[in-house]
Amino acid sequence: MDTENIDIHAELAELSPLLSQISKEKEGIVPEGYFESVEEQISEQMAVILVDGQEERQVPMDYFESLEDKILMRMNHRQESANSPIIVMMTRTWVKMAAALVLILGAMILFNNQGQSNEPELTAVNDWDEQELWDFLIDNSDDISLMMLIDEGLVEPSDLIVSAE
Amino acid sequence: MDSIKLQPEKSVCPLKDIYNMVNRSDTEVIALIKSRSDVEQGYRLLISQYKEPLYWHIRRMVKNHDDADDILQNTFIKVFKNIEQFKQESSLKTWLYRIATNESISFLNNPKNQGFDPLESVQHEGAVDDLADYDDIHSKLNKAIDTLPAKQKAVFVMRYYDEMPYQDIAEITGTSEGSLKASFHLAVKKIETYLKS
Repeated sequence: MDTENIDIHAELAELSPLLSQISKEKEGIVPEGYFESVEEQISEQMAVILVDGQEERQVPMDYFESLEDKILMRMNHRQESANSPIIVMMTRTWVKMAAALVLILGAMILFNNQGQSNEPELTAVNDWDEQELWDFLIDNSDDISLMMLIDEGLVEPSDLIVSAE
Repeated sequence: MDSIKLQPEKSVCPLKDIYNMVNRSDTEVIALIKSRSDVEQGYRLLISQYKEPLYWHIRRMVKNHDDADDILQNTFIKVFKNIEQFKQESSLKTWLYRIATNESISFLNNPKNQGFDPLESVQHEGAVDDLADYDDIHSKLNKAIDTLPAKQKAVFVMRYYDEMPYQDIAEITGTSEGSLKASFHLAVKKIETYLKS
């Protein structure tokens, strides 16, 4: 018996002589062969998890060989798109855009202009048409603010799709 | 459905030795699991070595065999899924016990699982004869332990039945040794009062 166990028994004997005298031999019963069968069951679950894990880590054959070409092709496509006139899909409601605009302008006023009055700009915004609003949103939105708008339910990811004419 | 035979002789509560029965070192088991080639062998070793100690640890908390069985399997599934997060800052044994303890505490704290008498449940399965060994004092002790809140019950079980050092219990529960001593001492007093009542 090691020192730690002596300490445990001494501690219990001191705290509760009654509890320290109760035998711990009989405590529970389990179905016959349980530990053999549960080991099999757990091993089967483990095998499934291992296979799933391997599948998650797998990549299609020749993926990395073709990746470079895919990236270059996509970059070329983007460059071509940038040179083409862009129109925004105008299928969304005026209310959503206005709300998104207010959020972005609010953030800009709060963090960038530090107390300077932006009243003239806000007033001018009222006179913008839908295309001007979209242009402003796209020019002034970074990824974070776009994600914020999506999270707030003010825009849907599909709202932000632009198409080249 | 196959009839379930209860087998008290081979599966008598293994007591403190269970906590110390692990044969292969943690390092050896982890090395096998982390080596891509022997991962399955490593897991099998882990299951083989820890299934009984973890089962009894869980069983002492939830009392009912079926619940202990579910929690044991969930524990191992969590282990398999999270083994990459085991950084060996604690021992494998305490990490496994931590998962099993948390699973058991979650089970006990679930309102669906409260107010359930495990002994009554076993009797309904037709195992009355096998409960003859449950004499009054053990039955009363079980009921007394059931009155403890889940986390205090976990501390009591680990100290009283598993005879774990406070240092290990502290690693498992994330609680300071001083708080654990206080918790255990109060639990013992409550149980003693219950037994004498």
